[in-house]
Amino acid sequence: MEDSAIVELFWSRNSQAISELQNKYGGVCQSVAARLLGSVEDGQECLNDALHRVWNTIPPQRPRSLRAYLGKIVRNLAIDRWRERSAQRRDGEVASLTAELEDCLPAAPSAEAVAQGNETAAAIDRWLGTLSKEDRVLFVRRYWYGDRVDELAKRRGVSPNNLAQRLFRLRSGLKRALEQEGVIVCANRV
Amino acid sequence: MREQSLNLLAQLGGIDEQYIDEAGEDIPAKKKVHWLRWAALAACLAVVIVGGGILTGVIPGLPIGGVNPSAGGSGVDPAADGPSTFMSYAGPVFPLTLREENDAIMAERNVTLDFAPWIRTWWSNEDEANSRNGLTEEERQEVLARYNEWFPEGGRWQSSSDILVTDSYTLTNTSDQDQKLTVLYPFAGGLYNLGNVRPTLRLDGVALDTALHSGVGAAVSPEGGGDVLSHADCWEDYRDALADGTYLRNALKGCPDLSGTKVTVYEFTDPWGPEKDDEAGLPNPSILAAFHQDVEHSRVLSVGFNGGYYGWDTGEMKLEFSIPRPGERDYAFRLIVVGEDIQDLVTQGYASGGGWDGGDPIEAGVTVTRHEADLEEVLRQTAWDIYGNWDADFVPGVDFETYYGLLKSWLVTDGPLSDAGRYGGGALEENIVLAQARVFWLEAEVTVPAGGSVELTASMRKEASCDFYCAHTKNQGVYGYDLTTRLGSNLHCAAQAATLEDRGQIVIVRQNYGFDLENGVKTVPLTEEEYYLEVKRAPEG
Repeated sequence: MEDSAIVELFWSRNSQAISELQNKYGGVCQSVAARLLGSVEDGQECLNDALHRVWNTIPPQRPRSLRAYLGKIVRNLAIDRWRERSAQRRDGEVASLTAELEDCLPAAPSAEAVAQGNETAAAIDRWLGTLSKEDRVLFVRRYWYGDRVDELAKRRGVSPNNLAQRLFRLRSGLKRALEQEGVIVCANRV
Repeated sequence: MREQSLNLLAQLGGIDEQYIDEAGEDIPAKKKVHWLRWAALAACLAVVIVGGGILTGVIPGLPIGGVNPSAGGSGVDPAADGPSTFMSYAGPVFPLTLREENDAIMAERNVTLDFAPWIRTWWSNEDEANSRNGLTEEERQEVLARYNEWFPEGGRWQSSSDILVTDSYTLTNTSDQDQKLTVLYPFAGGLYNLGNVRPTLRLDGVALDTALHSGVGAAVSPEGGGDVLSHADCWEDYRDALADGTYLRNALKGCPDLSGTKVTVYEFTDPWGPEKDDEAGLPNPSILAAFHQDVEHSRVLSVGFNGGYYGWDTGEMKLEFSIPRPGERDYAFRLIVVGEDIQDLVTQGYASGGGWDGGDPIEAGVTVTRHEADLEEVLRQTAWDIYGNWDADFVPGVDFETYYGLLKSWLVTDGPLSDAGRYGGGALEENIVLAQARVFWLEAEVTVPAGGSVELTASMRKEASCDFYCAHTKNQGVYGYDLTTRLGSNLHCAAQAATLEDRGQIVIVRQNYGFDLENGVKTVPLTEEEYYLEVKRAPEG
C-alpha cells in the first residue's frame, strides 16, 4: 500500500492503518531500535510506542514519508530509553555510535554567531547534500539506521578498515561543516 | 561517552526524510541479526577480561579505570567567579620545560594571544565548490548550485575560533660555560588534529628540527576516574595528568618494545570463490576461519577480518572476511596468536557473511600458512598494512612510527593485550589511537652561549574550549583559552607576561589576566599558576 493511502487510513481513523504501517515499515524501524539498544525486545517495545504516537499525531500531521516519520519517532524513543538505562546496561550500538560521533563535535563552534540547536539537523542536511550519493547513504546507514561497520563493509565488498576510514573522513567533514556554520550541538530535541 | 555526542546522535534523527528514504533502499543482501550475537559476546567478554587477567606476566599492562562520570557537564555558573568548566576542552597552553633542570639558565617568557583567525573572510560558493577534491565538473556544478541556493548572495562570511599563540622565551646563560639544553615544548591535542595544532619551534628566528614525544592516552586520574585527558573539561585535569611527572616520563620512554615475545602467525592468502553477481543474486562470498582458543592462556589479534563469533565460554572462535573483489587493494588477512597456540583451525567459504549462524557453504578457499615470529616484527608489519591503506591526507602530520608506537602503547595499556582488554575481540583496525586526547612534547637541542641569551619561540594555532549546550548554559558563544605558567616545567622563569592582540574581534566575558581593552591594557605580567581568558565575538560595527 502506498504511503499516501496509509496516511488516509490514519486520517479516517481506521485502525487498519496501524497494521499496514507495521507491515510496511515496522521491520526496518524495529531493527533500528533493536540495533541501537542491543535488544530485540526493547526494539519491539519502542516500535509499539512509536505506532501509538503515530496514531496520536496523524492527524493533524500528514507526513510524506512514513518510513522517515515512524523511523524518527522510533529512533528518538530508543535513544531516550538508552539514556534512561543504568550505565551497566548500556549495550547496543548507541555506545559505539556516540563514541564515533565525538569526532563530529566541533572543536569549538565558529566564531560566527552560533546557530540554534534545532538548526543542527538542517546544517547536517546541507552537508549531506554536498556528498556523493554513495557517501551520503553510507553515513545515513551508519548513523541513522545504526548499521554495523562490518555489515556495511561486507555489503560494499570493502574491508572494515577501508570503510572505517571513509566514515572517519565523513565525520571530519561534518565537523568542519558544523564549525563553518557555527552550529552547536544542543541538548534539546529536534 | 559524552552527552553532547548522544545529543548529536539524537539530532541526526531530524535529517531530511529524503535522505532517510534514500538510505532505506540500501538493503542488506541477506538479512541477518548479527548484532545480537556481538552484543551478547561483548557482555561475556567483559566478564572474561575482569576475571581472567590472561596475559599478566607476559606483557606488562597498566590499570585502567572507568569513564569519568563527571565528564561532559557544564558544572560552573558562568556568572560566578573563576573559569568555566567547558564541555569541549582544548587544554591549556603549557610552559616550556627542560629535559634536565639547569640552574644556569634563566628565562623570561612572553606569550601573545592573537585573534587574527577570528577576522571574518569571504568564502564564495565558487571557493566552496573548488575546494572539493575529486569531483567531476558535473558534480562540482551540483555543489555550486546547492550553495548558490543556500547562499544566494554568492557566498558567506566565515572565521575560525582558533587563535594564534606565540610563546617566546629569552633564555639567558648566567654561567661562564656554554649550556647545551634539550628543550621540551608541550602541547595538547590528538593524532586527529596534530597537523593543525603542532607548534613550530624557532631559535633566534630559525626553525628547529624537533622530535615528537606522544603521551600515552591512558593518563589515569589519582582518584581512579579513568583516562583523564580523554574526558578533560578544565585545566585541573591536565594538572592531575602531569602532576607527578609519570605521564611525561612515559612519553619520553617511548613506545613499549614487544620484541622477545614469541607469537604464532597464521597468514590467509589467495582467497578464492565465486564472483559476486548482483543480477544472479550472488553476494560477495566470505571465508570463515574457525578454531579453538584457550582463552585463559592466549589472545588472538586479527587484521582484515570483518566480523566474528567469540565463544568465550567454550573457546570456539569463528572469524571471517569478505573475499576481495578483483581490483581491490591488497590487504592482509592475519591472525597473531599471543600465548598458547590455537587448535583445530579450519576454513570454509560461505555465500555471504555470518557463517557462524549457519550460512550457505560454497566452494571457496584460502591458503593458510603458519609460522612463528616475534611479536614486534609481525606487529610492525601489520600496523604498516593498516597505515599503508590510508589515503595520504587521512590524518595529516602523522608518520608511521608515531602511529605504530601509539598503537603498541594502546595494545598493552588499554587494548586487547592489556588486562583491561576492552577490545578483546582483537581486531587491530578497531584501535582508538587516532582519537585519544594527549599531551605531546616537541624536543629540540639548543645551545646558549656563556653569558649570552637566545630567543626560543613556539608558534601554533590554539583551538578554543567551548560548551555545546545552548539550552542549559550561559556559555553560548563563549570561547576559552587557558594558559599555565609552571605546570610540568622545571625552567627557572624570572618573569612572564602575556599580550593580547584582540584585533577588535572580541568582548572579554571573564578572565584573570587583567587585560583592559577599554583602557588599552593589553600586556600584563603573569604571576599566577593558571590563567583563563573567555571571550565572545564583539558585536558588528
